[in-house]
Amino acid sequence: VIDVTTDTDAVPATVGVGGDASFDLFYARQRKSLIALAYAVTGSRSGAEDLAQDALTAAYRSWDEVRSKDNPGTWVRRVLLNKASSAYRRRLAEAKALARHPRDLDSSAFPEVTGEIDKIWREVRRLPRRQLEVVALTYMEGMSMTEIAEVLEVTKQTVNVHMRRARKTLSDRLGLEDPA
Amino acid sequence: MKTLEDTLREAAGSIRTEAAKMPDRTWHTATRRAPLGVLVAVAAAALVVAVIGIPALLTAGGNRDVADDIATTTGQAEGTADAIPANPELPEDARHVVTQNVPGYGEFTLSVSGPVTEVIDGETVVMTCLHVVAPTVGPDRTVGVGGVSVCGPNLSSTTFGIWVYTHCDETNRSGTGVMSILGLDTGVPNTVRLALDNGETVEVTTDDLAAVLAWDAPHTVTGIAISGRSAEQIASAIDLPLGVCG
Repeated sequence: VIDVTTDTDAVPATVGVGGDASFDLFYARQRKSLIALAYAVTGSRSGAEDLAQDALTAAYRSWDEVRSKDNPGTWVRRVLLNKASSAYRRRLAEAKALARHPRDLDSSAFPEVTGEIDKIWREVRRLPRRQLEVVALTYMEGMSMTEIAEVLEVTKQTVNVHMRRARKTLSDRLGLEDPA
Repeated sequence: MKTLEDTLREAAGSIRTEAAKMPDRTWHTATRRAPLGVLVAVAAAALVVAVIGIPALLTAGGNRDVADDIATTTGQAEGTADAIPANPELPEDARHVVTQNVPGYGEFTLSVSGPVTEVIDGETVVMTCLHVVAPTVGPDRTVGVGGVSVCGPNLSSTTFGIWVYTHCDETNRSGTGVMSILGLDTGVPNTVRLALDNGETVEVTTDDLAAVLAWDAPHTVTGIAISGRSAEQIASAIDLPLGVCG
């Protein structure tokens, strides 16, 4: 479980173009956790990096407003998941286009996320979008149902329903016991 | 036997480990694509101004200030909208120019340009672009004229097949509205019906729109219809923090 508010990544020396130290710290603390979350929902390393960067760009552009929120980390995750959803739709069109223009593409997966682990995430990504988001926020971010409800702007009950359905589906597809 | 809970926790740990290895990026790289975005935005706006003219923009959005802004940005003086822009960066092969009133939204103008070749970070990128200008509702719920360009294919790039650029005015409202209408930024599907000059009607989701127009359309598009959401729903969607232009 990652505590996204206390990640102690060093602030890169060149960070600070925006001239706001509080954003620099926010950026440094959040980026890798956002990449991990984005990878969980997209399965693309470059896509995850871009999504994380785009979400942080959105935060930067509205930083005065975002920094005043109770939890800017929640806000930036909401942005990331929204962008991940639209990015997924765009990738469908990209995939169709690239299929018509065959070429060698570098694998964009994390090199160590292979075999059984990769299979598990592929199954997670086959879930309906909300279920995928709930699973990703639960396991990648270690968030509680209440925190997830805040990110997704739904009720805690809705989160519970999505999680229950996701677990049932994953348990069946992966052939794993789920005593919970 | 491992439980689902154990398995998911282990799978999450693997991704976190890999993410932790990602090299740090300096913050300014976040805006790496902005210059091209601005270039395409200006080019597309100028294209529309040149081909359609300011009166069409005014008709579409009813916002003279925005139309004037576009004209100023592109170096087009009011009243000379029919002139070919002098900027050598502008695409000169605009085609499939369509203007049509879409009930519930207003007047849409679509055009296709390219292919154009750009060198980005030392990489040659060949792009064909679909440009859309439409009335939009901004975060402040005012109505203006906005635009979006969907460009591709980007065959020599290892990252993107399609690039989407919004044409932003100073209120940052324009592109987000059009992207929302087209379903490019909200995840809510729209159905777009395209009438082709050979008499066929092609119904596609907005996922396919760029592909159809930028890559596959051998015909002139003679009409477009968009179904899906009301203006209120669009305005609501734009309340999401989607206001990134570039």
